[in-house]
Amino acid sequence: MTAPLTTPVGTRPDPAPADAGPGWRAPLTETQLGLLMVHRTVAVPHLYNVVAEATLDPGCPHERLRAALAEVLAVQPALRMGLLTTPQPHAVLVDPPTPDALPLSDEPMAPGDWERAHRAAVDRLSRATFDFAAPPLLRAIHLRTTTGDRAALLLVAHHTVFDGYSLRPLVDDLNAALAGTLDAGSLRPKRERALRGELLAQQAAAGTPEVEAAAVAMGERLRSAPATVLHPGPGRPTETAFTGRRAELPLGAELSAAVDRARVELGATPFAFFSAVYSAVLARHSGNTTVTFGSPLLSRRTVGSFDLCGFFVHTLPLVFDVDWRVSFAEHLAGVAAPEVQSVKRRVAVSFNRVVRHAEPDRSSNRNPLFAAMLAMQDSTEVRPGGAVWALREHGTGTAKFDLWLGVTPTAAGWLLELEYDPELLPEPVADGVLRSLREAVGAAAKDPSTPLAGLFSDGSGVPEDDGRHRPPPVPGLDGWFRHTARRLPDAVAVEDPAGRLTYREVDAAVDAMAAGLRRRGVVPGQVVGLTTATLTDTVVAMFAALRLNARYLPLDLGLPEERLAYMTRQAECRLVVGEGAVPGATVLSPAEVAGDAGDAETVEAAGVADGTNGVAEEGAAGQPGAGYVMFTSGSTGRPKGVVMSEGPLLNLSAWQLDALAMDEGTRFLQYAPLGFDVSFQEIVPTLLVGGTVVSREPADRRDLPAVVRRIVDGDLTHVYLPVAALRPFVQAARSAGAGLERVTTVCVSGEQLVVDREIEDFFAERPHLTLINLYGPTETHAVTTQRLTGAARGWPSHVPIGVPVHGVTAQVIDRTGHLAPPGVAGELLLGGACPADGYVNDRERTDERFVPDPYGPPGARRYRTGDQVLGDADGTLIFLGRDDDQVKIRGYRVELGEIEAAALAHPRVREAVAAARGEGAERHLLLFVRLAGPAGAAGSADGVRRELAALLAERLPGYMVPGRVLPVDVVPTTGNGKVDRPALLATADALIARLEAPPDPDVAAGRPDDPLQAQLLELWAELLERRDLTLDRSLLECGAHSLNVLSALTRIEQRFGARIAVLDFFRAPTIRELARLVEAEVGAAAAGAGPAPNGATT
Amino acid sequence: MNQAVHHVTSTDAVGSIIARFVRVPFTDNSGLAEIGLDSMSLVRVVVAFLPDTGQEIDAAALAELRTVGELRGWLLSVAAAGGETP
Repeated sequence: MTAPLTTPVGTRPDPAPADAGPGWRAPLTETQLGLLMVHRTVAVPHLYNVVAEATLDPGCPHERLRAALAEVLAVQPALRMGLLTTPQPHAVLVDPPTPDALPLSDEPMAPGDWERAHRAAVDRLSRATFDFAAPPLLRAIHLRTTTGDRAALLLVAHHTVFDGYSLRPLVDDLNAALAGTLDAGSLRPKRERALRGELLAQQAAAGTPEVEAAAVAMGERLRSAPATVLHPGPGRPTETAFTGRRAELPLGAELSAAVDRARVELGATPFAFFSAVYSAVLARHSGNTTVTFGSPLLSRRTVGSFDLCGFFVHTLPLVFDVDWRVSFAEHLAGVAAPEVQSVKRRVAVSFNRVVRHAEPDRSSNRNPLFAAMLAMQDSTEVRPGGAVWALREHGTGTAKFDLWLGVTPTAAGWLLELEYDPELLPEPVADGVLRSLREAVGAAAKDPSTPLAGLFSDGSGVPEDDGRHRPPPVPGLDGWFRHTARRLPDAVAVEDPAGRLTYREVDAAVDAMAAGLRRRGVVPGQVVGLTTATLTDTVVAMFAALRLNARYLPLDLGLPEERLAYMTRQAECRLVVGEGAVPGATVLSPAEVAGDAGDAETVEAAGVADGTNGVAEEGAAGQPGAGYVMFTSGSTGRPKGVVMSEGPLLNLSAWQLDALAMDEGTRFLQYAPLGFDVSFQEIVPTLLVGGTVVSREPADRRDLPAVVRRIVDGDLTHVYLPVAALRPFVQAARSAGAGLERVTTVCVSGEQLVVDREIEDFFAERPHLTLINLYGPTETHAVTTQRLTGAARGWPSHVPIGVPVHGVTAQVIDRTGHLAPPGVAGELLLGGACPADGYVNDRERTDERFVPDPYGPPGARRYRTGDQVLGDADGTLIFLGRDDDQVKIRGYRVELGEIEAAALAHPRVREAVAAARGEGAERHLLLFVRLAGPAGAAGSADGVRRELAALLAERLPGYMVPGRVLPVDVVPTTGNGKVDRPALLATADALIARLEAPPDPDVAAGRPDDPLQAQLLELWAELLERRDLTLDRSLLECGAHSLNVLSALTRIEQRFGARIAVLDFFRAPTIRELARLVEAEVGAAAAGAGPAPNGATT
Repeated sequence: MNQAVHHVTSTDAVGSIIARFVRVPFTDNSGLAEIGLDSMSLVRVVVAFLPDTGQEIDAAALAELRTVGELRGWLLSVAAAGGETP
């Protein structure tokens, strides 16, 4: 049911309102109007029900309670108040109902039925709906046992007429009425006058220059603070059903006493104390060092109002800077207490007024200013001696906020209650908040000198690995290869366009080359460069280095000479096997190295003859000298050479054989450039298990149709692509009609994997394929994976990085320095078997990133990735971005991939790249799209751009909708196959200039092109008192705000019979869009399916 | 206000009203938080003291009060401004 916003016939207000009796009329407060607005916005009509329970003297007969409650309604005019919004918003009173007409039901029951009946009654009242024009906005139930040993008055009132404080006057009056001491006759006019006086005082105080200045200041503060988002992450719902769950945390007598001792010693109010604790908890769980929460503050103005029920609360934002190093006592005294004090000074400012100045994102149905709330509930104490024995409020199964904390003093000590929306905070995440709250209160009360970070402890365990592991037969990479070569000497090990090499042939060639290298002085641990031209030579050279317990260093001759010189110098690489010229090193061809080996001599023999020269004995365990050096292609500064040893590489190989189901039949595509660590995963594990490594050539790496042909013709089973190549691969395979029947596994890595329908469908049509998303920096090996198959549909568009591979400890460390609770973002640190030795000849940067691991055995190390991740409710890791280049727009963390996935839903979009540019408040999003179909079809591209803008506005929160959509012909990529955003951004201004060059004169002038637009323009011009409105300018920028929007929508409803959802308006607040909405609505009504005009209840 | 003497002040009108909401002895120098006079009790003291139901309370000024002495001074000035004293 929705409430009518028109004045019912028969209650048209008098011209001269009276302050008591019939004709009583008063203005509504801004806060009441705001709530009416929310009521219209949110499809949960009972969201703002206040449900309370008064434990009653069971000796009180029902008829006496009924008469007493009728008297209470007589002296509490708010409980008989109706709220009307036309012609101007105002309040009216109805006469007190007679006892018989009271909305009070008598529910006697057998004592055994109490619990069930009580639950049912609370539930029923929680869901009660009210018609604002038909007071009383109140329902009650007298619950009592027939044996006369238990009784309660349960009641629900709508928040627009009843705040938390109202419980106090309500119970005082009820007690007096039951005691026969309430003089209703004389009190009634006094109270009616007092209520009107208060409403007038509220109105007079609402818009003073002081209040306006304070609202501006609060708005500015909020705009500069990041949004406090709990359980952040891709795909977080922007709208919810407002379902609420509650969890209780009674502090108990001992801890409550400690809390009170501590706060009195610190000279702090309970509000300041719990604000200090809560701000630290929110900082931990949002990952921010500035947090915002709201708190309802009593905004009553007149002395007489304190005897009244009513809604006189301003819910205002408090903003806290959290410095993890300062003590709790300092945080309380220096930050929390002053903030509480400051908000109390500004209590005359209404929430709506702050919203007006904070200009928050209004595209969500959630509270626009804050996600979290702290409510000090200090009105439930009852005075002894009355018929009401106890008083409490109930949750109503709803959650107005993502997280709400209620703090209530009870006889047994402080009671903390959390109410949360499980769509946003799944239960394990909310449990984590509760644990943090419990430990922080305890630590703060017991020792206020504790630094804020020390209020908390580890919020989870180290996540378990995936347990996939095929134990090596011998503990060395080369030994394992030789073991396999002896077992399968005639199997094909390597295939490239030049031919095939069996295991026996590869092993012999490795022997020959290793011997040559050794004669040239290569010793264990030495770095040997590779510029080999063919896959065969590369494989042989790699294993030759490993056979000598040396390290290979891939060198790409395409790199600038300066960079190659830096790499060889830094890695002390003086000998290179391959071709071309490398500054600072001698380059020898594979034939030159192996050719002078002498006739029958093998390295194996040499090794036996000269054991000191470091040739790996088969079975020699994870030699520290063996492995590789790879330089990370850092975008800024000097590249870093990562020294990777055999221990981690053995662990990776043993995991991969099991996880990728590799065996002798495996045919692995060698796609990656040798300089990327992925090449190791393609080559080495395949040769350990007896499979075949197949060169990509002659296909060009960027020519995905050719790569697909190679995969099909070469009977390949395993493919490992950079993320950016997955979509072109999928499109190429589809165009070729390739079923990829032989392929079992497609791996991707390199950046965040975002999948859409096209990719998911592709795998659904090929259910034999497993898509594996791998994550791992060069400084470790691949460390986490997420597996997807077409058989299990419903892929998340932002694919998690998943769970740790065998032997890896993946630790998410939050801002407090502890293991993060579920759903809390933190830096990913990697320990266990995976970390590299460090950076070659760079002690300083090694010590900075490779640090001691307190969760491992003594001496263990872990690598700090600098990547922000979070563990989801079920422990799956989700990648959020780099510490250093997070994209934030208006304080919100923006997931570019999510925008791209939304854009790809449009059938004409082949590729989409979102990027941010500008700094601070100027920072905004652009979307580059490559469209299908004929290039240069300008007219149709314009249509697609408009459709895309609408599609994105529909699917994404407002702060994620790109300011402009820019079609491009190609999407540039960097050397390692990642999308080149800087290159795209560099073209943005030219693209924008081209798009906007021929201005459409009508649109520029904002002239309406139909009568409906003209009428709406007129209506808004009148309302905002401005003549400069245009069709496409945001009305919010022109002064529209929540209150006048309500008036506008009411007028539109009356004039056109179209009921527009407030949220729809806020999503696209322009005349053009509004006209479109009105047309759609009127069309629906004409078709007989829409709501009746003029707000008739449905 | 005499800083040196901790004289009990619950004998006048303001003091006796405060005494209804506070369980510990206090002086003009006592901090309001220290003697357990939270914001809700403070409101009740004010409402009990001021006779004119139409009179407005300046919540911002109320939030600034720290000690019993400040509360007393403020109450007396507000009551005087309201045209009556109890």
